[in-house]
This record gives sequence, structure tokens and C-alpha cells, in this order.
Amino acid sequence: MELKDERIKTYIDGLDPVLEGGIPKNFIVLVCGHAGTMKSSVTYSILYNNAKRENKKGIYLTLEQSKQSIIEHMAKLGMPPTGIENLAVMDLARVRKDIMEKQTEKKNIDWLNSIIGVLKNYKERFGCDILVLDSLAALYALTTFKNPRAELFYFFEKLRDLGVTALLISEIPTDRNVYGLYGIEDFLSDGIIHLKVVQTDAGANLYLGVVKMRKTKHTRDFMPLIAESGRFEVVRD
Amino acid sequence: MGLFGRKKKKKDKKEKKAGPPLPLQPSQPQRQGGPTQQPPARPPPQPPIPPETAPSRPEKPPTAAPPETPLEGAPPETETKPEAPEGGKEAEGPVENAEAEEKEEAPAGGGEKRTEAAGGEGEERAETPEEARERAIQRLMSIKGIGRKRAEKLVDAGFMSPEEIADATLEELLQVDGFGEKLARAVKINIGETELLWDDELEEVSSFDEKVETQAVSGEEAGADDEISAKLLQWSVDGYRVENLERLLKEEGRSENFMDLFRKTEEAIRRIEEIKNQLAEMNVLGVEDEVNALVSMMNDVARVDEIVSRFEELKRKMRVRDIKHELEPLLEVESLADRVRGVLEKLESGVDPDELDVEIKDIRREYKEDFFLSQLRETIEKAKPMEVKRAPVLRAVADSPLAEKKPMQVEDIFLLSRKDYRLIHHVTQRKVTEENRKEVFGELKAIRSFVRHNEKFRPGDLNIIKFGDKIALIQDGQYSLLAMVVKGDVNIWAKKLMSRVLQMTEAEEGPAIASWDGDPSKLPVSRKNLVALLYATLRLGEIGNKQKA
Repeated sequence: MELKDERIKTYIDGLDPVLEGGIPKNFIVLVCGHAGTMKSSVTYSILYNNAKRENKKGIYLTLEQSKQSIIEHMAKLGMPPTGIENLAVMDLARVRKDIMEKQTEKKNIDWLNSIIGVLKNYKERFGCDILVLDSLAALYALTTFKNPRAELFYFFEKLRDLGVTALLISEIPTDRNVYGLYGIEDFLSDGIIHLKVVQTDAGANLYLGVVKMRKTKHTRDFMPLIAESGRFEVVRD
Repeated sequence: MGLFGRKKKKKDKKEKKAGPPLPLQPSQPQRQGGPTQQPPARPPPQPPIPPETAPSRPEKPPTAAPPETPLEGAPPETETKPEAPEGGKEAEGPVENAEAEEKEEAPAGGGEKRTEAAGGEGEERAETPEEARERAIQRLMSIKGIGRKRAEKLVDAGFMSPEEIADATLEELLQVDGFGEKLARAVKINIGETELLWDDELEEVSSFDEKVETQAVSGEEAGADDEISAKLLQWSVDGYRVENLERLLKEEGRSENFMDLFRKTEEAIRRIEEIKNQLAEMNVLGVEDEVNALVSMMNDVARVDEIVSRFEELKRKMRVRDIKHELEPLLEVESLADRVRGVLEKLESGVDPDELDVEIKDIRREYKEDFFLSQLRETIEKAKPMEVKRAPVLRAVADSPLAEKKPMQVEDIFLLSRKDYRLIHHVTQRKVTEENRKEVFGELKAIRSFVRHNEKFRPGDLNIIKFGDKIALIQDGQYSLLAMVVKGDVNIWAKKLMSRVLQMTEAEEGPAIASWDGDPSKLPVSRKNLVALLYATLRLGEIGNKQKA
């Protein structure tokens, strides 16, 4: 039974037409780029606009920055959280810190499964359409993989079973040109959006490219990405 | 109560039904002829009316005329006319129409078939079930007080014609979805049965009929009147108080004044109906009193503005109730308690919930965040602790003579000249007290005598002698003798350490020891090495202690 081709709009001007309307619902998409390529801001804006305009429910899981710093940063970009009921920012870094401090002896914490389990409960109770995980590398840092490829495979599968559209932020290591640390994230995911900065004489320009998106006929061109007061826009020739 | 009063007190309303069969008007296919006419108690004596007059139906049928059925098209002027002359009769326009049509096709009026009037050709064709249903609905709609919805309900319940309704008992009608006693009785009355009427009701009905009738006779725009009368009846059946309107109609006819009030009433009822519909969907828990008060005034059309504003107030109260219900449990959430309390207090003091919307949304969001994080904490805290397994630690071999059972504690270390057994250096971890000095000399003496006189002394090897609870370890080199007095069990590393120290010392100061003049300060390296040995052996003792623990 073929599901209806429902899409989650990115609300990045110019990108949705490229994606035939948006990211297909319940896809797992890597959002990759080196440090400073606005991965967090772009993904947050997708959650923000969906919450605000479509009442779609979003979760931003941060393992990198604190909730406070994200919220402040996003407010500066024109996306204040006030009155937005459907965008919850969860500061996992904080939980981790608290637990590490409290812990007298080392525990073998299964973060991946714990997070998935709680997400499931949360979704049942409040609903969740879109999930952003910031970032994969920070998640890996929580976990000691015995067999990373197998464990990641199961993690992605469980994420898929949740039935949410997931945007996984993956920082590309500066010395390597891979989309994920273990080199398998790209084929475990349904889509890859690549953000990159290109240096020019005048400064640095940000580009966005859709490297992969299943079920979608899209261009692979890198398009200039412009951020303006809470709105992102890609420019096509 | 005078139930079942006289029968047919009023003039048969049925009479008019029995209109002469008329040709179906091509223009109105949807109109169905009623099946059997009511027995034409009196054949309408009316002269057939010329077709032109048709559009303006002179009579006022008080029936709830189905809006869908255009009266203009009705052919039966003929029959309608007749009534006018008769005066007293109230005319049931739609019914007549229906009958007329029906007659045209089949005088017998069997409900089953009907001629398709389309195009005016009147050609026969088989009727689909949908058409049959539609026809039945149309027929039933010819009854006063029966609009499309009720007609559908009646058809669903199996009543296909006014006659069947006439035959039905009041109880049977009450089975029909949406039919209360009042409506059921009204329908029976309208269909011409008076047996079921209470006296006073009969009066009402008849006077109403008359009233309508009179106007019908006089009015040129009888078509509009039809609708007006139908609505008036519908409204009173629905329980609205429209006496004023009725009185005005009686007094003034369709005066401007009346029409004005009529339209206002119509609008008011529309608004009230809307409220009724909304109210039916609402949860009125906790606001029952307000709801009862509101419902009890809802039939008073004149108070529509008050009804609307009370309803708005009621909705506000419900919102407040819902918000409280949602927020009160959040008082338990520590990080939100203050803000929740603030909002609840504001609500209590009458602040419009709309003004608090943003704050409530923020609280909701933060509650969700809190929910997630506390669940995660809980999950993780419940997680099983990791099993701990330590690496094996080096232990003394159990059956070795050097096997330690108690950690070795070094008391004194001596360095003696190999040549003449003079004491070169002494380091100790003990406090130097008078008593200790004696002990130290005792140890020194014992070591010397062992080395000098005991045949058990094995040069080049580690010699172990016991005295009291102490053990002396003695190792000799080329120029010197190293002796260590310890308590506890000899550590397996002791021999290695002593040999090493002796080796290092002699490598640097061996010749100096051989030609030593008795001044300890001339052999500084030896002393330094002895101190190092003391520390090293102390550490051995510590490790031993830990292992033991």
C-alpha cells in the first residue's frame, strides 16, 4: 500500500519546489556541513515555521549547545519562541551533565535506546511530526559502540519506526569528506542536505545542496542560501 | 386534559387536498404528486384557474413549504383557487400541488410510480429508488411543519406518504428520530386529524389556519406568504415564541412593520439555532447552571442579543474551566509552578483567557520539554549499573618463603662497611627516641654478629634473619653490606630493590667506601640511595595495605 506522498515543507523559499513540495514525511535526512554552516539555524527554522504556520509539532534535541543559547540565537535570527507551543527544545547536554555529576560509579547508559523510548512516549502523549537531533557526533560521544555499524543501523531503524520526519545534524570533520563519522549514515538516511561555505574575495557565501532525497527528482546543484530575519531562501538561476 | 377531543371540529383541512387532477407542470419536475389524496371530503368546487395566475398562489398554505419546491410552477391553481372562495379552509398549497401532479399521472396515486414530468411531455419511465425516495420526501414536505430534514427522517422510518402518517398512531410517530410529542401531534393535526388534539390546541390551530387563510385570500404575493406562514409554524413547533409576530400578522397583514419584525425574527432564530448547534457539541460540565439559564431563555427571540452575549460569556467560562483543568496538574512541575499559579490567579480575577494565550502556550511548551527531560532522567537512572571487573593484580606466590601475609613495614635501613662492619649510614621511618635508639643498636648488633660469626650467612645472597617480631634482610656487596629491618611479611620486591640499591651505590661510591675515613658526609650518594630505598619500600608497604583491603 503506497502511502500518500505527504511532504513536510522546509519553508526555505525556493527549496520546496526543488524538493517537489518538501521533505517526504517520515524521512530521515542528514543535514551536513562543516562548523559554522548554519545547520542548527536551518533545521530550527524548519521546525519553527512548521509549528507556526501548520501547527506541526516539532522537537529540537540538542546535545551541543544549551537550550538557552539556542533560543537566544534563534530569537536574534527572527525566530522567537514566545507563543509557539509546538516547538520544544530539549537540552540533553544538560541531562547528561547532571547525570554524570550525580553518578558515583560508572553506569552503562544506553542513551540511544533511552532517547528513542522517551521520544515514543512523548509522541504518544503530545504528538511529534518533526525531530531535529543536534548532533549525531554528540550522540555518538554519549555512547560506546561495540559495533558501531550494527548499532547505528538499529538506531536508524528505531528512529524510522517512530514515524517522525527526522533531521539529523552531522558535522563533517574538516579533515575528511564524509557525511557521517561512521561512513554509513549517508546510506542509512533517506536524504542528505549539504550546507557549505564558499570563500570569495568579498567574504564567505553559504550554499545549500540536496545531495540525496529518495522519492524525489531534484537538482544536485549547490544553491546560494540567504538568511534574512527568520527566513531562509535559496536562489536558483 | 381534553385529549382526543372532537374530531374534525375544524373544517376538514383535507378538503382542499382533493384538488382536481392537474397536468403536471413541466417546469417543476421535482414536485411529486402525493399518492392517494386525502379522501376528498369535499371536492373543491373551485373553478380552475387560468394558468397565468398560477405563479401567484393566492392561497396561503400554512404548511411548511419546502423551499425547494417552487410554488410558482404549481399547476394547481385550480384547486387553490377554490379554497379562496371557500374562505374558512386553510389551503395546503404544496399538498395540493402534489396531488395535482399526481393526479395527472395516476389518479390512483400509488406512491410507487410517477411520470417523469421533465420536459412537460409526461412520458413514463421506471422510477429509481432514489427518485421514489425523493418523491416521498417531497410529498411529506407538503405537510405543515415538515421540512426537508423531517421528511427525510420520516421516509427513513418508513413513512412514504401523508396518508401513512395519517394512519400511524401517535406512538409510532414518536419512534421517528427527532419527533417529540409536540411535533408528532402537530403533524397529525396538520394532516387533518383532530382526534389527538387538546381543545386549546385545536383552537390555536384553527385560529392560526384561519388567520393564514384570510391573508392568503387577500394577498397578491401569496407565494411569499406561503413561506412566511410556513416559517411561523415551523418556529412555533420548534418552540420559539413568535406570538407577537403572529399577532401583528393578524392585525396588520404583511405590513412593512410585520415584514420588518419577521425578518428580524428570522435572523434572530438563525443566530439562536447556530448557538443551539454549538451548544449541543459542548461539554457543559461545571457550567450547568449557566447553560440551563441560557437554554430556558432561548425560545425568547426578542432577547437574542442577550442570548448571544450570554453564550459568549458561557464559552469564556468553559475556556477558563478547560485551561484550569489543563494547568492545575502542572502546579506539580517545580519549574513551572510559579508561572502556572500566576496564570491561574489571573484567570480567577477575570482576565480574558485570550490575553493569556501566549503565556499558556509557552507553559505548554515548557511542560512538554520538562516531560521529555524528566522521563529521560528517569529512564537513565533506572538503567542497570555496569558490571565492574578489575584487572588481576600481581600477588606474592602463596607458598614462597617471601609470600607476604601482612604488608611489609620498613623500620631501619643500615649501610655497613664490608671490610670492618662500621656503620656508614642509617635511615629510619621511626621517630628517634631514646628507646628507639636502644632498639636500633640492638638490631645493628644482631646484624653484625650474624654477618661476622654465623656460618649460615651466605655472601652474595639475600639473608633473612628473624629476631622477635622483626626480620632483618641482609645483602652484601663488594664494599658494603645493606641491611633492612622490617615488620610484617617480606615483600617479593624487597630483594630486587636491595640489590639494585647496593649496585647503584657501589658503582658510584664503592672505592670511596673501601677507603672510607669515617665521615658519613663523604659518601652522599650512598645516603641518598638509602633514603630512596626507604621511600620505595614504604610504597611497597602501602600497595600491600591496599591489596589487603
